[in-house]
Amino acid sequence: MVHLNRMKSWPWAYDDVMKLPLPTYESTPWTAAKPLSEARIALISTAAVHRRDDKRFSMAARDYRSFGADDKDLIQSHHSGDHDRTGFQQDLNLILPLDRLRELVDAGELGSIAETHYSFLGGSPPGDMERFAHKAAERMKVEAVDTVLLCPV
Amino acid sequence: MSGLAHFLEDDGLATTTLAFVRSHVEVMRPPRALWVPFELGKPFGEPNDPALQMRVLRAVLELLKARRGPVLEDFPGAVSNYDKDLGWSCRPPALTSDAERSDPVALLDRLKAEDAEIRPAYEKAVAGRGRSTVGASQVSLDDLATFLVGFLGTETPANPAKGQTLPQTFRFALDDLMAYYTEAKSFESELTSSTDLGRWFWGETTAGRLLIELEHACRTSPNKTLRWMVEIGILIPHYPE
Repeated sequence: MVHLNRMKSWPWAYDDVMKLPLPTYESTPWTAAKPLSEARIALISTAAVHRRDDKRFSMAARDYRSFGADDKDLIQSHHSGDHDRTGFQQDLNLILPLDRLRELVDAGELGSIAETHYSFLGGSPPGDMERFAHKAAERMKVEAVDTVLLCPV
Repeated sequence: MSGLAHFLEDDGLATTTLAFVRSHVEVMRPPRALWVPFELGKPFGEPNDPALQMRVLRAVLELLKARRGPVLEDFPGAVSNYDKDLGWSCRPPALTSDAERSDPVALLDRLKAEDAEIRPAYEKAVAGRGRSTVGASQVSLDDLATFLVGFLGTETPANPAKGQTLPQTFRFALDDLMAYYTEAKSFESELTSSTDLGRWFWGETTAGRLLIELEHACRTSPNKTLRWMVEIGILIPHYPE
């Protein structure tokens, strides 16, 4: 709903975001990326969006929902009021840029787009999402995905 | 987001991520990240601005060419007028006493009259866009106002939705009401920015007034989850005036 700088005048909300307990990692894993023109890409959003008939995200949900590249009628069950919703109400590409990705494929700059994409509930402790992230990774590999674009909200 | 990047990369998938909070990325060190200076909720810039969206997309995909990491870059160049955008900061202040509350019956009448004005524009918007974000509460548009006004009374309404708790249904119904109005207003309207839509919703609609009244009523709700939701500020957007 507001740029982070604006949240400074609402200290406890700003602190909620800025002082969120974060895990640290001893090292950064590294998988060499394919050339973009050969890559097959999937999106992960943390907007807690999903198909209309899917189970809603509870505040304790750490799993994910999946949806197809052509699914446009997505709804959101995110409890946070921190982020603007009027933007993606008008244009889903603002959070899931599938039309832009298609344009890159058409231009020959990107290999292909996965059939399935994913959404988690943003703001969740990362460690609690780990086993679900690995499950999503398994599904991606079945679809020959090699590259993932992570889109926060 | 940075944590997910670690897990997926461990599994042999190359990742690149957008980031709103630069300091989080500096701590968590995902393999490839692009910091973007946009309003929360707008990772690819602005709605209906495909050129800006493509600039962001190309910039974050460009990081995949790096040979080693972690890589953290800032989105280059001038991007938007976000600094002028107050978002929903124009919401009116919370009620301070019961004396400021409206008569629920009169409020519901005003909401129904407003609904009759909003509905045609909303239906046109849904047909035009081929989609709507309204629906998480599972409460129909015809029942939405009555359901929400019920929380202004002394007895907590029954949960009309299956598979979710009453506080969840209530929380999502608030989002549905706001989305119903702003999806309608932003279609074929000059009001498309979050600032303008916020000013209109909070300043000019009975629905905006209802939300302020609900926030006040929930402070003393018999339902402890609703009281807690008000306390931690997730019931309705609560930004600095």
